[in-house]
Amino acid sequence: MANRWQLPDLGFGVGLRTVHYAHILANHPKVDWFEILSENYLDTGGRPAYVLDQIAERYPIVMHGVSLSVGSSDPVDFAYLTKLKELARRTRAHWISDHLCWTGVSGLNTHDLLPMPYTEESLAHVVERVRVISDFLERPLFLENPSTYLEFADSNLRECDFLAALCERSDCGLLLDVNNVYVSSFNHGFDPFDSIDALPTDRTVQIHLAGHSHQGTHILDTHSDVVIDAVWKLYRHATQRMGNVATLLEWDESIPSFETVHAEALKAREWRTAPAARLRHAS
Amino acid sequence: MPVSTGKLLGLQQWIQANVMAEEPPTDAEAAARIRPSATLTPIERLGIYRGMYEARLIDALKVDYPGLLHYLGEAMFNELASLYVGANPSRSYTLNRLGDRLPEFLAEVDGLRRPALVADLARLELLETEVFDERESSGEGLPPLDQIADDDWPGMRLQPIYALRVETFRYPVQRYLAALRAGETVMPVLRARATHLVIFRRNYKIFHLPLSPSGAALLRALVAQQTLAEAGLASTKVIGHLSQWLSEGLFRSLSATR
Repeated sequence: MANRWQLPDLGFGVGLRTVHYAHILANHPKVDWFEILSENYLDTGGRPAYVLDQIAERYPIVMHGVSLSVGSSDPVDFAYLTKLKELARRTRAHWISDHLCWTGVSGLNTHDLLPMPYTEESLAHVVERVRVISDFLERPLFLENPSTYLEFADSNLRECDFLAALCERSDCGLLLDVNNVYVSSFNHGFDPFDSIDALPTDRTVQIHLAGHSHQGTHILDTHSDVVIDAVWKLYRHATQRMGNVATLLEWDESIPSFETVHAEALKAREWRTAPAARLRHAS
Repeated sequence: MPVSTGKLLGLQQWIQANVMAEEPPTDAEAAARIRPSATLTPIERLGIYRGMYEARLIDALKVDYPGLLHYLGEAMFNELASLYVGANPSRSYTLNRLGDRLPEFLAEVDGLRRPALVADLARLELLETEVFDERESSGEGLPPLDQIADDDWPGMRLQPIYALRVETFRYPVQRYLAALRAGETVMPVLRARATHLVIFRRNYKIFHLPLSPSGAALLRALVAQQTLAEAGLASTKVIGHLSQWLSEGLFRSLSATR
């Protein structure tokens, strides 16, 4: 099942992190692709840029950002978008993604992925901004469902319905973070399988996987551990529904060796191609 | 340009103000905007974001100021960083420049022990972050000094590499950073002494090179695009300085005007 933009299934990738630079440059590991954190490379001509250029020569690159603030009430930051566009050109990025969230308002930035109220007003607002941003970038925009820790009293749409409507009305695509679906489903008490089933099948070009941190009363999306089996089962459900989609593992806290991170990413192949056996093992 | 002025704007302003504020809103204020979960009240749910906000920004400062963190200790660093972030919230899409005003902020903090030293240490680390991110350039194409005609010397201008800063400190704080990076367990005791440094990057590594007062003046003059004659070429010391700086790769090009 192909996505509507005919963007490729890049296979099983790993998020590029500074601690792994030396290993990657020295050993050129057999990784299908890398996802970069866009903001780490927008304003530097130093070592990060040098390393990125080397890696982009050898591996497919996808750009993932945290500062687009697509849901903010502030004006769109075209200076930021200009840098994003130039980085995409330099790395020959397959696509650019960010999050369905806002990071600040009134000129300030919290540097957090703050949740949107899921209302018709905010949907119309984000639809219009996605169109403006996509036009400027001259490519489709892909938005990730974030992990959230609160829900607004005014929300009258489910997150998944908001995302589906956003995709349809703005012609954007999805980066489905399966771990975030799990985290938010626990925090807000919804069924994660129903949520995935409500998303459009032909607009998902990438899947994120990660570990999280269970606090008892809530779950934090910390990217600090291996992926738990419940999330793998959601992943399998998503790929059965959406087909093979470029899959990436994120690990951002207590980052282990590159081999460990890559091995965790490659587990996705097992879950995608041998689901029955894996499920028996997991259960 | 899509800018919201309705309910969304008001809600975002309220959330942001209360994520950044020192004190939380009342339970009633939070409950009017946020639903409870099965396990958390509205104020507790907002508290997750409140807790992560300051921690994230302070962590970013720790990355840029490891020497300052070591010198002050974790508790004092956190206290000062919290005050700084409260007074200087981020206005950029990047956290990389969050700490740009930290040295001047520290210089004004009441009751800080050895404020000049602390501010100097922060200033050196700030300059290192600037040098780290500057665009790459090198002096590989420069001709050897002995190939430059005598008549060309006075009118010569040297263009420094981009990743270079010349600075004067009140304390030799580079010694503290060097000891920290070398993993020394006993840190140097720093006494006030005017210290001139050139901070530069070569092969993506950052170096500090101490300068004499006259060397610092000369290098500043060259960085300001004075000719060698304007910068004091007559002195034989100047030739010595130039040879060393060229061998360190501090210049990327030269141009001569007779």
